[in-house]
Parts: sequence; C-alpha cells; structure tokens
Amino acid sequence: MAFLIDCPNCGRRNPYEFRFGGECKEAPGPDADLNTWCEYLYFNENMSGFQQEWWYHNMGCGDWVKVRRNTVTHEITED
Amino acid sequence: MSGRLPDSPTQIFDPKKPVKIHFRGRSITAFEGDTVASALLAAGVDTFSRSFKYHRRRAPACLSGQCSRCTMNVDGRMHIKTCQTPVREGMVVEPQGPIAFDPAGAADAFSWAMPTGFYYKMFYKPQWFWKLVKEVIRAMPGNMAKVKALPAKAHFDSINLSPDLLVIGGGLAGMEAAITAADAGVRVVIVEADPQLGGFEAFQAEAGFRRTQASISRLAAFPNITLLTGTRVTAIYPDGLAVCMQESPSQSAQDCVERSYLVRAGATVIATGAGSMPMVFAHNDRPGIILPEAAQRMVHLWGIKPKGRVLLAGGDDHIGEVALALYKQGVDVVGVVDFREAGLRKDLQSALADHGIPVWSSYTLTDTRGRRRVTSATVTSIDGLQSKRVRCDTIVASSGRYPRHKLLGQIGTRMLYDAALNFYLPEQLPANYEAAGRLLGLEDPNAIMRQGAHAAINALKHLGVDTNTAKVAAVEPADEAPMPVRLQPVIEDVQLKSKTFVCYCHDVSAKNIEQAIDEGFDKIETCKRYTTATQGACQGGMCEANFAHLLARKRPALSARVLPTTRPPVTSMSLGAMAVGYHDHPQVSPLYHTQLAHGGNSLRMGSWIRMVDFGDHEAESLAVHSTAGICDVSMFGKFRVFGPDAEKLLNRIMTRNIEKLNGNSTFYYTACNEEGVLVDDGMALKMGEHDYFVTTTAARAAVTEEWLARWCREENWQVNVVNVTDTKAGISLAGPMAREILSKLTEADISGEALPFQKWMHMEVAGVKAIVSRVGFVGELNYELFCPASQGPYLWDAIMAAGKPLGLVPFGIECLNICRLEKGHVLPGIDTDSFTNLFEASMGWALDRNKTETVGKAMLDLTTHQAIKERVIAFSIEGRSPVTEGALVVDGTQQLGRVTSIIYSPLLKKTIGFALVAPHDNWVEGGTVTFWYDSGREAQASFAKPPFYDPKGQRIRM
Repeated sequence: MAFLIDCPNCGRRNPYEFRFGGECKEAPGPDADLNTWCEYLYFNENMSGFQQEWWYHNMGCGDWVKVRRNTVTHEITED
Repeated sequence: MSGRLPDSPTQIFDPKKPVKIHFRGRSITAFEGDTVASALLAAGVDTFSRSFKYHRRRAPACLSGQCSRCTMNVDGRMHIKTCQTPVREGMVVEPQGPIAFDPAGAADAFSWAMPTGFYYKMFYKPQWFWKLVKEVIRAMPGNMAKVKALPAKAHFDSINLSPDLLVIGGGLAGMEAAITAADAGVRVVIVEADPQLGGFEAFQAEAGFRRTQASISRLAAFPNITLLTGTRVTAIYPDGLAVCMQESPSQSAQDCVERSYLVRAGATVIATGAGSMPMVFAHNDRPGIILPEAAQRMVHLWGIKPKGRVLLAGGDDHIGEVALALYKQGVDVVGVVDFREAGLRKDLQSALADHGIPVWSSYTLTDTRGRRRVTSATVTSIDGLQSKRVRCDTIVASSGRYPRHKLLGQIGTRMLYDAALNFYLPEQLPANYEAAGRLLGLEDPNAIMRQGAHAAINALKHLGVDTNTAKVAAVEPADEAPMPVRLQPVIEDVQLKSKTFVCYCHDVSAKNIEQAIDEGFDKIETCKRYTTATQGACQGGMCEANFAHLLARKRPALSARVLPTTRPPVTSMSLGAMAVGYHDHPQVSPLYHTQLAHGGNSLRMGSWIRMVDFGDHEAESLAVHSTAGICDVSMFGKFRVFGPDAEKLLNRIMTRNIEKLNGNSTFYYTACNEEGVLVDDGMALKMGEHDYFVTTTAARAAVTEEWLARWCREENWQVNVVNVTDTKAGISLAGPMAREILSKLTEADISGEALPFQKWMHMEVAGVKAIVSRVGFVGELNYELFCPASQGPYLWDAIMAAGKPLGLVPFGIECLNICRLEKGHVLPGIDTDSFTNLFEASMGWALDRNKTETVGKAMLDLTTHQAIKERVIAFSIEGRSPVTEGALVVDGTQQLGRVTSIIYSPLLKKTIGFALVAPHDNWVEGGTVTFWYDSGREAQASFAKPPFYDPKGQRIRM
C-alpha cells in the first residue's frame, strides 16, 4: 500500500504502522432486534470508492484514527 | 593484467585490486568492480548453465540482467544473476547442475518427440504410466538449483522511503529528471539496477562515457537525492508503491544479503530504457552468441575481448557502430551481416571497408555450428538463394531494440505498436506517473536529457510543486551523430528451422510456437500459456518481442502486436527479503533468567517464552497440594485504568458490574466481543477513587490496549489506560505452606482474618513493595504478588530461600495446567474458540443482566433462549490415558467436538480435561464420552461436573 495516513498525533505515516479497523459503522441501540444486530455484525458495505474507516496506530501513538479512503485508488481525502 | 585490454577511461574495474573467487573448486582472480559473470568470462568460462528442457549449453547473452542464462549458485544462494552480482573476496560460485558433461543432454536429440503441449498430450493416459515416470521427469529440468541450507542464517532487511519523486533508471533521462526535480527542492530517490549510473550511455565508448560523467557529477551535488545503485525495482503499484530489491548492500557476506526498499513516492518517473532483442535463427543459443550490449559492456566496462573471430549481425546502424567500436579495441571482426536491403549508413560502410571488414547487406544468419561454443555461422541471403559458412568464435547479433516496459504494464499501461516509429509506446500512464528516455523510443542524447527534465517537471506539477522556476539545464550538442536504434525484430522465413529458439528459459522454438498457433492457440495470452514462452525466469525479458512478432506474422488480424501481461516480480527476489518486514520478537518475563537458573525448561507459547516445567510437572503439582509451589505469572497483561470515566470504560468491556467492586475485594471479570464470544478474563483491583489495576490473560496482553482504546474511541471520556505489563513482575505462591513462607518475609498481618480469600492489600515482602491478592486458580491457599519488574528476581530468590526448608518448589505452566483443570477453570481461547459465547463457555453467571452498556450483551440477551450450538464439558478417565489434545469426541461415526485440554492428575490418579462439543444426551451425570484419537483408536471417558478437587472450595479459603 502506497498511501500515507495522516495521524493527528504523529503526522503522515506509512500504513503498515497502522492496523485496519474496518469501515465506520454505527452500532444498533440496545433494543434493536436480532436481524439488525446480525446485519451490523456480519455485513459490510464493501464500498468501491470512498468510505469512512478506522485505523489503529499500533506502531505509533495508539490512537484510533478515522480516515476517508478510496478503496480503489487508496486516495485519502478530508471529509 | 590477465588477458584484459589496456586501461581505458570507461572501465569500471580496478586492475590494481585483485579479488579471488572460487568457481567449481578452482580459484579465479578477478578485480574489484567485476561482476561474477565478467570475472568468469575473463577467465575463459564458456558454459554457465544448461537449458531447461534440452540441457543445451548456455552462456550469458545480455550481461545486463535481462536473460536468465548466467544464473548460478553464489555463496549458497540459488538462482543469482551473476552478471549483476559484484565479486567479493572468497565468494563461492557453483553452476546449478552439471555443465561440463550432462547425460540429460541426450534430450536434445529427442526434441522431435517433445512437441508443444507434450505433457497435456502424453500424460493423461494411461494413468499408471504417468505415475511411474512423473518423478523422473520432474527431476529432469536443467539449471534448477538443489535447495541447500545456507551455511549461516541469511540476514535480510527492509527500509521504508517516502520521497516526493521516485526515478526508476539511472541513465541519461533518469539522471536529468532527478537533477531537475532536486533543483526544484523536492526529495528524490533514484534507483539503478547496475552497480554504476549511466545506463545505455555508460558503455558506448568514450563519447557516451563523457556524457554520463557530466550528469553523474551534477547529480552528486544534490544532498536531496538518494541514490540506490545495484537495486532492481521488481514491482510497482498504481497507487505509487514501488518495491526495490538491493543485493548485498554491504561488502560482507555475513551482513545483509538482500534488502528491500518500499518506496511510497508522490510521483514516479519511469526511465527503464530499451534493450536488444536476440535474433531468431537456428541454434541461436550456443555459447558465444551474444547481444550487442554484452559485447560493449565486456569491452568498455571490463576490458574483456570477445573470444576469437567476431561476426556481427543485425538490422540497424547500431550494429555497424558496435563493429567499429570493437575493431578499435583490437577485436578481430570478420564481417557484418545486415538484413536490410539498403544496408548500413554510407559513412559506416566506408569506415568498415577501410578496415577491410566485409559487409553483407540483404543477408541474414540462418544457422550456427559448434559444440562447446559457436565455431561457424551460415549466412544466407534474404531470398534464400545464396548461402555461405563463415568461421567465427563469437556472434554479436540482435534484431532490434525494444522498450523495457515491464513496470508500465504493472500500473495498467498498455504498450501499443506504433507502425511509424516501428516501436511499442505506452498508451496512457496513470496520474503521478511519467515515462522518459529510450523507453519512449528516443535516440538523440540531447533529446533524451531534455525529455527527462520535462518528465520531472510534469511529475512535479502533479505534486503541486511550483514549477515556474524549475529549469531545464542547457545541454551541449552531441559531438557524434545519434544512432537510430529503434527497430522491431524482423524474422525471415529462411531463419525458421528447428532449434530456432525464441524463449531461452524454457527452450521454446519458433517451430513450437507455429505448431501452437496451428492448434488454435493463436491469441497471445493462450499461446503463451500453451507453449510457456515468455514465462521463464527472465519473464519475457529476452523473448517477448520476438514472440509477439511471430504471432503477429502468422495471424496479423488476431493479435495485432499486443504484448503479454506483465506481473510482479519483474526479476527474481528471495522469500527472505519479502518476509523481513514481519518482525517476531518473543517476550520474556523479568523472571526468565532466574527461572532458567533454577532449572526451568522454556518453550515459546504465543508471544511469550514461558517455563514448561522444572523437570517433573507431576511432582510439582503434588508439591503444590502438599507443601507449596511458586510460579511466574508475569505474562498476565497488566493495566492501570484511571480517570473520572474509568468505570464507564470498564463497565463497557466487562460483563460484570465494576460498580460492585468495593474496598479491598478482588474482582473476577470476563470480557466478550460484540458477538458475545468470550475473549478474555482476569482480575480487577480498585486502587483508589476511579483508579483500577486490571489483569488480562497472557494471550490478550498485546491487544488489550487497542481493545480498550477501541471502546472509547467515539466518546469524549476522561479515562487513561497505561500498559504496565512489562513494568511489573508477577509471582504466584500457592500451597498449604504458602502463608507460613510469606509470613517469614513480611511484617504485615496475613492471617485468614486480615487477608481472606478474594481480598488484596499493599505490603512489603522482603522489603519489596508489592500488591498481594488471594486468588483461587490452583485450588490451594494462593497468593499472587505483583512488584516492580526490576525487583522481581530478588523477590523470587527471597521467597525461594524462605520456602525451601518448608518444601517450596518452583513450578511451570504444565503444573499450572494440572491444577487449574483439577479446579475446572475454563481458559478463554484454549477451551473455547472464536465462536464460543459466554453461555457456551459455561460462564453465563458472569453476565450482569441489569447493565445496559456491555460489549456483547445485546447479542447474549437476544440469543439467551436459543439452543446452544456447542458447550465446554469436563470429563475424566481413570488412570493415564493416551488421548491427546485435539482428539475428536464422537458418537458412532458422528463427530461431536474435540478435546481442548487433557492432562493426568497424579493427585486424583485420573486423566481429566475439557472438550468443546455439540449438545448431546450423554452430557449428564454418568454419561460417557467417546474419543477418537491416533487415527482410529477409541477411548472412553465419563462426563464429569467440575471441580474435580475440593468441590466446596475449602482449601482456597484456608
């Protein structure tokens, strides 16, 4: 992967310093039914294009960083 | 000087610095600056390898890293391109297979019996025959190295670079691009495959040499240029990543043998240049038949005279230039063959005539003879009517030049044939990529330099760098006329006989390709797969253009000159260099060395090196039950969680309610993921207001930080997590004598009333400040002590000294396993897997139903009333059992689950354990559990309800 991730604490860093944390999803409320929970747990959008996603800076500051990345071109933009 | 030409300014070896290398048991003197191949050629070595299929003798064709004929075993490493490997004192070079006499060379005479698709056609029936001969046939291929262990463990490393601009290729265009960009102030990395800069110009006699030296000295003035010579780019990706491999970056074999650079550049200029294509004629693979660049490199870089009488053949003026250059160096040139009707440029023709060198225009090469190396060539007129034999010892032949386009293909750029230029040109490059130089069919050095500069400026525009002030350096007019070097291979009918090789790596001849086309494999991709041409070790570096041309010739409409797909890696790279980015550093506890000194046997377990036992784990477990034992528990994950919102975070990850933790009680917790799957358990101690000391299992120690951070990443909570795993040593002291031993070392009141089960306190033990808690893991009176890591060994020794007279023994993980199984403790991740939820782990009691915010609780609530899919059960077998972990639990032929833990308890004289199984009627008091182990043996156990030992828990409360 050639792109660099802008970490708010460490600056632009090589993505291998991070661990991919999946796409940003909103967890259902405590009263949601089983279908809603399963949908949330086991299904992803698998966007072809820009998506919001989490990256964990495990070889850096240890913060979770939200990134808007194009899954096709790896282009990263401000949201 | 042994057999080298007199000193010249273009040479890159130092005749004053001899280097000795070993080749097939004999010592060869080379010089610093030589490559292995140049040293061997200078020493008169004719045969470097045997070919893949027919075991024909082969020697380097290109000397520039394109062909695969010079590959040998160097210092124990396989498939090394000797033409790009600098010599090093004491280097051991071995050919891969018998090169002098090869009995398998008989295959050459039976080539008629091996048509294209030989395997497909011959070996699908009868099946028994194929089974009989396949091992023999698989051992047949030539130049395949035997895998041998290296004398020493090879060391690899990897470096990440993120410059603004990456320039691939250190020729005139590449150097000019780097200089222009560096001058504009950006950081540049320039990668060159050869040990020296200059590319094509570096070996074009003195005029080219002067041009490159001027550029090299300008380049050296920029501190913002990183120069990587001897480095090949093996892969590039459209998002800007380039993978570069550098062989032996240092001069010592003991140091790093291969280094990878992962370059993530803002923009990339590709200036990989062009190379010669071999000419297609019968027996065009004999040693002594080389490409013009090989002849020029030998003469100009290493001062090696091509052997004996030299015949040149080609279809452009470049071959005439090379003939003259060789003649000037004293080479015996016997003639120049030019397949064009018009022939060479007039001035070249007259210059050659002046030296008495015959030129045959409208002629081409059709055949060669010779055994160890070429001895004569057949020169035939294009119409095939006239033919003669010319005696020669070296043939320099090329049918034209061809762009080194491999990297362009990897970023999705198609190469299109341009009929006007008679050259392949890149169709469209992705943003942030530029191409420059001879790769685009340019010839004039001035044009190349200017275009290189403009490529850099275009790249800088992509980067958003202000290019208004960027300047294209003035270029001095060339003192010699440029030579037309772009021309695609021309293959004449007269040349197409058997043993007319197109693909040297796999011995695919022009006849093979024609046959494949006739059988219907007439698309470039299918023909390539059927014949395996272009799929050898050189990855089409030698054969691609000839292959495409042959196909286009036969089927003009179908495959109008497209090139096959290119994929990484472009050149071979070792697995070690790819794996090196992954570092594996097992952790050791602060008590590691102390335990080794006590006779501990260590074993790698997950990320930790832990002590298995101290000789006899069964004796250790008996000692724990009768006297006392001491065990290292430093590998528990240890965290301090504090801040006003600490409870919020802990309540989110723990299934029990942390608010219920008060005073000096210990708090056992379990943790689930969002699916309700049990992932962790441990202890929490309340150290102060909103201040907790939390332990986790050893396996989770590494990921807990991330896990805790993940569950407050969207909250603006005031909570801090400090990982104190490495800063604290943990010692577990267990057994009926534990209190007596501890009381010798502390003045604190540790009576059953002052420090009862499930309570903890701060105290000084042997003068060391420690957190001491009463736990129940091993089923006896049990203290867990946490102290600063640096004082751990001292505390261990102090406890050992105090306890020894009372029978204290150290114990390891196996004994711990016996004790916890006797007590029926389930270990998350060992007795459960990534599907086992809290209920299935038989730990539903640990879920606080009244909490709202617990990770996994929603799913646990929703699935409470669903039938469970699997559960953890305990079982026991009288006496010792040969059943091991992983044995299957069966009912007849149906598999119910597997054994997750099993061990013999000497105290109970039973083998006990856990299994993870599907629901079954037998899981009741008195039920039997059937195991299938050791590939077919069966054993019986009885279902049991843990704990097996001290079910009322009186001993842990002593």
